[in-house]
Amino acid sequence: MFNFGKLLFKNSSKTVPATDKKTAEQTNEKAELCDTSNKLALILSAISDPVIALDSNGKIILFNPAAEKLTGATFQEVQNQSITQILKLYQDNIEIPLTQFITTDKTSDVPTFKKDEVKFMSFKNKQGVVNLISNQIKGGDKADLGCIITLHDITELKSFEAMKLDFVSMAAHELRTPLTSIKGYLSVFMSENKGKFTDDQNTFLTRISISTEQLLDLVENLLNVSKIERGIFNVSTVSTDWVEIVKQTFDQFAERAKEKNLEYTLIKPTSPIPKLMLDKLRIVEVISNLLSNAIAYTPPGGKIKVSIKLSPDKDSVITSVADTGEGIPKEAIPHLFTKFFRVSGKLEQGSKGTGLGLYISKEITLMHHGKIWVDSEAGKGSTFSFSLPIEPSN
Amino acid sequence: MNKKILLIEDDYFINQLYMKILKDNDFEVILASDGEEGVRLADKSFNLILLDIMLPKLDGIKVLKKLKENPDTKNIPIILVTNLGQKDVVKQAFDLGAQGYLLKMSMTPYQLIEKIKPFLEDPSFQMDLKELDLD
Ligand SMILES: Nc1ncnc2c1ncn2[C@@H]1O[C@H](COP(=O)(O)OP(=O)(O)OP(=O)(O)O)[C@@H](O)[C@H]1O
Ligand SMILES: [Mg+2]
Repeated sequence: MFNFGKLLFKNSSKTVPATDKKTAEQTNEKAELCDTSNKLALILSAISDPVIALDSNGKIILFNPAAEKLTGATFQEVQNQSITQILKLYQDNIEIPLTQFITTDKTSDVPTFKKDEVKFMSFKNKQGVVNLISNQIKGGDKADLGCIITLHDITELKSFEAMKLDFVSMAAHELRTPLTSIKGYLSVFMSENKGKFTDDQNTFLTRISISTEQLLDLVENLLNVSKIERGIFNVSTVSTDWVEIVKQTFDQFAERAKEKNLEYTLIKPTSPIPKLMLDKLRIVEVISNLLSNAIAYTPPGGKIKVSIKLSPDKDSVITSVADTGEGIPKEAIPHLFTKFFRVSGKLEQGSKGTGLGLYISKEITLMHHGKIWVDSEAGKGSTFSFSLPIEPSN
Repeated sequence: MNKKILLIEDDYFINQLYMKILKDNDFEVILASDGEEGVRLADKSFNLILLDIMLPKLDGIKVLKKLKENPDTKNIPIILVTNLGQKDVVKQAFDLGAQGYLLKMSMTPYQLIEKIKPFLEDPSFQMDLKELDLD
């Protein structure tokens, strides 16, 4: 490490007239200076922004730890070196001559030089972006002091900004990464060891795998809610064959319905359904959520029916998912489409969910200028429906 | 001859997993664990480049720019394989010449193998930005 005390003392001592006979006064003065400069040195080294002081020839006389960190060079290496050899600053790819901050005209009042978002490159090949302030040291000529440069490192901030990442995107990225590992290793482990597990082990691994998927869904749902609330969840629609999408999504859930021994049918529309303006990926979430709920909340042996039809005045398409499940109590219906709402008792019964599926479905439907609703009777089953408008041009 | 893939991925667990599965499927895989290494290792011998976006030293967008500026690598299909789903970032990458985007989280390693196949059969294969699930 470097020692500012010594350094500053060395420079400060120049203000003491060089003379052979040292008076007691001078020694005292020197000791005092030493003390002050030690303090100053400590203060400077505690500053978290890089500080570099130059003498009147542009040679480095002060270089605090933050400056060492920024440039990758130690004070020993740069001491008395010309700043131009150590650090280059650029703005719009044009080099800023650092020695311009030092004026030989001691009488002129050099304005403080201030520039933001300056690129730097050190002789150790460290680079980044800084905000720069340089001040001429007034009256510093007697002590051979040129200027003091303060830098504020904004490299990280800039790279972050360059990607325009907000908190939610960062959180998404950080949460998804370990989950990706769990999911990936688990799937490879299970497939490479197929047939080698006992029944218990199979059950455990399946539960780990289901829980991982639930956690992934939950993360995505929470992110979606956050986006909805900040108004950055939007849809971009294209003309889409809705019947085909429902069919594909229906098929994706067939396996889960079969496992639960549910009668699972898709009723073909009786009249032709025109193409609709949809954000395919988003709208799939609506039908997926309704199907996943219907399967989750219908006991084995029940029935699930999916249908698509035109509204009575033919200005919209209504898609319904009907089940013969536990149904929804009347008093719960007004809260059903609000976030985190679950019918009480669900948790105790051991069914998993967060109460976000219907809220997100409602938001997506609204963004498509549609409506979503439910008809249900406790104990008998529920029919969830949503409408999607038919564009007049179609 | 085995197809040669450059995997630019910093997360150790994920890059080890993808390396294994790619090798198991008879691909020759070279790993770069940061952006600068990716740029350094890329040359015309590769059939495909799998590129993460959030990378140390040089982020994926900058890597992509460099690879597309280099005459040796500019015609190699590049697929973003990332957990960053930000629409404007991915759109920027497609504008710069990325041909595909895969969200690591929503696929198993086996699905990765399936998804890269069309790019190896036809190096000009292009995924449709509109069909992607983005944040
Ligand atoms: N088909 C259905 N039959 C009976 N109850 C239902 C049905 N669909 C939803 N519910 C009730 O509505 C609540 C809210 O549903 P929602 O889909 O929003 O959340 P969830 O299924 O609990 O969790 P997730 O966020 O995972 O979807 C459920 O907890 C359940 O009590
Ligand atoms: Mg649900």
